[in-house]
Order: sequence, then C-alpha cells, then structure tokens
Amino acid sequence: MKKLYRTANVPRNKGPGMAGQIEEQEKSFFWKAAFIITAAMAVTILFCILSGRYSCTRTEVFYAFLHGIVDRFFDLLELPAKIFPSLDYALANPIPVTWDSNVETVIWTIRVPRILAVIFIGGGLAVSGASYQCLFRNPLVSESILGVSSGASFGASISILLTLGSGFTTLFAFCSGALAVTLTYLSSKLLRGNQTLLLVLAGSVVSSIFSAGLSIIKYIAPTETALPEITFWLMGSFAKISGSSLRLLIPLISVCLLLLLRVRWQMNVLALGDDEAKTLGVNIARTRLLIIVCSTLITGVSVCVCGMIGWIGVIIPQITRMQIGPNTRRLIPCAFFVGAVFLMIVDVVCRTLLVAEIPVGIVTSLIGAPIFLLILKRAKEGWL
Amino acid sequence: MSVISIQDATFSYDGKAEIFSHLTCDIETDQIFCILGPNGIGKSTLLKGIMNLHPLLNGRVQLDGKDIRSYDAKELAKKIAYIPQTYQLVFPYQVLDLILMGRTPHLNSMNRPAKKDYDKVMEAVEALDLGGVLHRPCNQLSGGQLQMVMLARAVAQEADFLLLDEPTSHLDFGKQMETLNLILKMKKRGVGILMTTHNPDHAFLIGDRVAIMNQGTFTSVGKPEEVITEENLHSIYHVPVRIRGFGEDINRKICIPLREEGEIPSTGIERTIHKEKGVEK
Repeated sequence: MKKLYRTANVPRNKGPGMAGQIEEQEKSFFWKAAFIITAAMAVTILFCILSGRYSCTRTEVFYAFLHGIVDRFFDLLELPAKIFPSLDYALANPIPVTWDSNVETVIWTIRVPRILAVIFIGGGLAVSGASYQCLFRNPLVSESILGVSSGASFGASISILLTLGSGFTTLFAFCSGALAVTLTYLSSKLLRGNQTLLLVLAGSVVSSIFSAGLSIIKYIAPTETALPEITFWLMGSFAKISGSSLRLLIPLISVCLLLLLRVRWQMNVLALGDDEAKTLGVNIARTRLLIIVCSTLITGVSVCVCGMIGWIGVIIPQITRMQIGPNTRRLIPCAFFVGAVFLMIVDVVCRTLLVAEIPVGIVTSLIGAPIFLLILKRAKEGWL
Repeated sequence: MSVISIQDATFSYDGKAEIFSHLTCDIETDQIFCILGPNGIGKSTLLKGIMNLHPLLNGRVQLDGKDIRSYDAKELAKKIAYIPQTYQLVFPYQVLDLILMGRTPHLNSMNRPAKKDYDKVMEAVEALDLGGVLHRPCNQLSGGQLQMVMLARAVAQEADFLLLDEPTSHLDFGKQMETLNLILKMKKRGVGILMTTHNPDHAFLIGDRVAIMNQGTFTSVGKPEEVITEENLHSIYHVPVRIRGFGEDINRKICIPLREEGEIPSTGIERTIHKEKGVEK
C-alpha cells in the first residue's frame, strides 16, 4: 500500500482555487481508499469462505457461495410478488446445483456468520483502540493495555460461573470493563510524571488486579463445567459463533461504531489536550463519556462473544496511522477495515493450519507483540 | 461591538495563596490590549481564567453582559479564540488538518468540514503564507512555524476576540513583526485582541491599551505612552531602562535597556530615573 497521505501534492497556485483543490484531493483520497478497501475486503472475504477443513473442492464452495448470494438477491427481487400475490412471478437461480447440500450448510451456517463476526469484532476492536488512543492522548494504549479486556473478562466469567445467560454476560463485561478503564485513568492521574507512560503502567496494574480476580473465579469454578468453558472462551475463539450471538453483536457494535464515527472530528481535537479542545468548542465531558461508553461496549461485547483478543486495538490503529496519517476523520473508518481484514486472515490461519483449531487470541498475541516492538522502534522517527 | 469585562477577578490554585486578586478591566473589540508583567505573575493564568479553563475564586468575567460560565463550549469558541503559550502535540497532524480544527465550532451537526470551512482555512493559510508546509506533519515544523500554524488556526476560527499568550516567543525578528502586523490586520477587521508580551516595544508598536500586571493586580492601565514609563518598567523588571521618542519619520517611542557596565551612572538606578524625569520636565 502506497503512502496515500504523504504523496498528496502541495497545491501550487494560490487564490480561491486552492480550497477547491484541497477538496479535490480529499475526494481523490476517498476514492483511492474506497477502492483499496473494497478490493482488500472482497479478496479476503472470498479467501476466507473458500478455505477451511471441510473436504470439498474450492470450485464447489465458490459456486455454492455464488448460488446462495444469487438466491438471496432473487428473494429480494421477489419481494413484490410476496406482498402482492397477484404479481405471480418467480426467478430461477441460473447456477445449477452440483454439490452436496452439506457444502451449503457449511458455508451459510458456519463460515458466513463466523466471517461476519470476525469483521465486526476485528474492526470494532481497532476502532475502539484508536478512540482510546485519541481520548487519552496516548498512542500506546488500547483496550487490553488499559485493562478493559481483563476487566470485561472478569465480569463475563462471573456471569459464566453463575450461569446467568448471554445477556447478563454482556452487561457484566461492560460494567466491569468500564470500572477497569475508570480505575486506570484515575490512578494514572493520581501519580505524577510522564502521563503517557503512567497510563500504560496504571493499565497494567489494574489489568493484573482483574486477572487475579479472574484466577480466583477459575480456582473456585467447578472443574467439570464452568472451568473449561471459561478457559477456552478466554483464549479467544470464533468457533462457537451462533445466529443468536450475531444478533447481539452486530447491532450493538454497529451502533457504537456509528456514534464513534459521528464524533471522530472531536476526537482529533480532544487529542490536542483538554484546554485546547475546550477553547475550540468541544464539550469535553459529554464527548469523553460517549467515547468511553462506546469503546468499552465494543470491547465488552467482543470479549463476551469470543474471549480476549489482544493487540488488535493497539497495532491496527498504529499501522493505519503510518499509512494515512493521524487525522481521525480518515483513521477511524480505515482502521475498521484494516482491523477486519487482519482478523479475518488470522482467523483463517487459526482454523486451517492444524487439524484442531488454534485459539485466535494466541495467534494475535504471537503476531501483535513483535509488531508492537517494531512500532516502538519507529516511534523514534516521529510517528508517535 | 463586544466587550469582555473582567470584574474583581481573584484566582488561586489552592484556595490560599492568591495569584491575582481584585482585577478589573474591560477589553473591547477593535482594540489591542497588551499585558506586561514579570515571569510567573499570572498573565497566562489570567487568560485561562477568561477562557474559563481555570475557574476563578472570586469575581467574574462577562462577555457582552453574560457570565462566561453560562456559555457552552461551542458558543464561547465562536466568540473567543485562544492560543496557549505551549502545546504538546501527541499525534503529528498535517498542518492543513490542524488549521481545519479551528473550524470546529462552525461545523455542522455531521461534523464534516464544508466548502466554506476550506475557504476560510485557505484565507488564513494565505494570510500567514503557509502554503508551502500545508501537507507537512506538524512535528517536522520549527517552533516558529508551529506558532504561525496556531495563529492561522485562530484566524480560521473567526472569533470576535483573540487571546494570545506571548505570541512572539519562539519567533525570529522577521516573524515577530509578521505576527504583529497580522494582529494589527485582525484588529482592523474588528477583532479584539488581548495579548501578553515580554517586550514593551511590541506594546508601543501595536498596543492601544496596556496593563502592567504586578504584585497580583493591574498596577496601571492606559495608553502605552502613559503606562510604559521608566519607573513602571523598572518596577517590573528591576533593570534600568530609558524610553526615547523618535523624530518625525517614525512617530513612536522605544525602550532601551541599559547595560550594567558603563551605561548605568554610579549614582544608582533610582537617582538616574529621577534625573531623567527632571530632564523631561
């Protein structure tokens, strides 16, 4: 990917045409980015649908997938006929069925829901990480570094231990994640010194407290039922994605994402510091609350659905920022797609590399930690 | 015409030691109001108090007869722009983006900059001649360039008042004059300016009114020629200063600080000043 942000030309002529030229550049950036993102998303989604351990040929899967899409599209076109029975018409799917019905089941009830979940969680975690980074004016933080993930896991595991059901799991995860981020922020404010570093340190302290709580819960959990459930869920896996968890995950994350998108300009201004944000007309208290609630909710939901998936929230915003610059107007939407593509690829590796599935959290850590080190090395060159 | 009126303002960080107290003055649009005072006397704190960034202990600041605390952030940002003395930029925003942030209070409900916003930004960019660095990340700029970018951002903000905390620090000789000329231009457009400065000559150059801030209050307020006197400057800075006027070609006064060796008569500073007064009379 070329550095879109840096190659933008400096306008030569002055005068009223200059503003127009800037707008042109914005537009051309938009179309370039839209093209790259669409292409990358399409290729990755297709790749994810085609690969898997169910034994069938790629062409079979491809046609079965195409058939399913055409079917759904035709269903839409037939909607008028269903509403007004007098308009009796039906469209026949032009793709002949040459595959086992199991193939279709595998694609439409296992792979597609899973990919949808991965897109929303990968993208959501990246956006919430980017939002936290602006909010705390710190490019090193993310939901896992701030302790939100361990907080949310602690809350969710209590709910699993008490077998309260998925609604409560989300609620618990959100509340305890919000508690964790508040604790981290307050304790960093109580200490004196370099706030960038202190926030990270406070986050690791809070995170370790909640991890200890989590260990207590694991210790007292019944070894036959709750303990294995908590353990495997925490490692992070998309294997258990069901229609019902999708119905919870997609609307909740979408709402949070839309709200964050709406205030993404204010995030830019907040990153300048509280005083400047205030004098530039941003209602700090309201905007902060909105960003914290939305980012924490995204983290909480994703922790409930697939356990702890670390590192996405810190490395994806960083990588995206290196490509397109720190302006959140571009960063937030782009980070969503970069996060989605990244997690889709990781998830495919997890479910195809070995016979047994590898927990996705393990792979993101293995990839994320070294990338984070590389980013820290680059930090000296002025991107942080 | 708008007025910022500071009434009996008292400020303290801890509730005990007062940084300044019982401070009263009016700042009007079409006017450049300079504050002179020694380091650490509370000039920056006063500006922050006016912007409602630090709540005052006593007294109040009114803008057009309404208490500053009753304005919401967006309304206030449309009325008063503020450039702090130092900034800590965490993310290396492009210069263009940084200036565009000045348009924040004017953005529509979707928070998306429109054609008009880009036009205003470009106007500011031209006024400060920043076209060449428009797409540079701001961490690659020098301190002076960054200062100009901040000024451009304040210009784009289109507020009635502009509060500047030492706008000429970090700037080279030419950039200082450029900044002062820009401030004059903004005054002509009807913007009211309140600036702190450490250079009394700048107050002679562009100031309409000057306040001397010392010992926790404004010790004198008035026209530069009345307020910037050798005694006043000596009481602030504790160094001997001469003030001289030019002839017909440049009708302005200037301050000349005296060197300790060879320029101060051995009779002592106080006596020197008294002698000067006698000569003037």
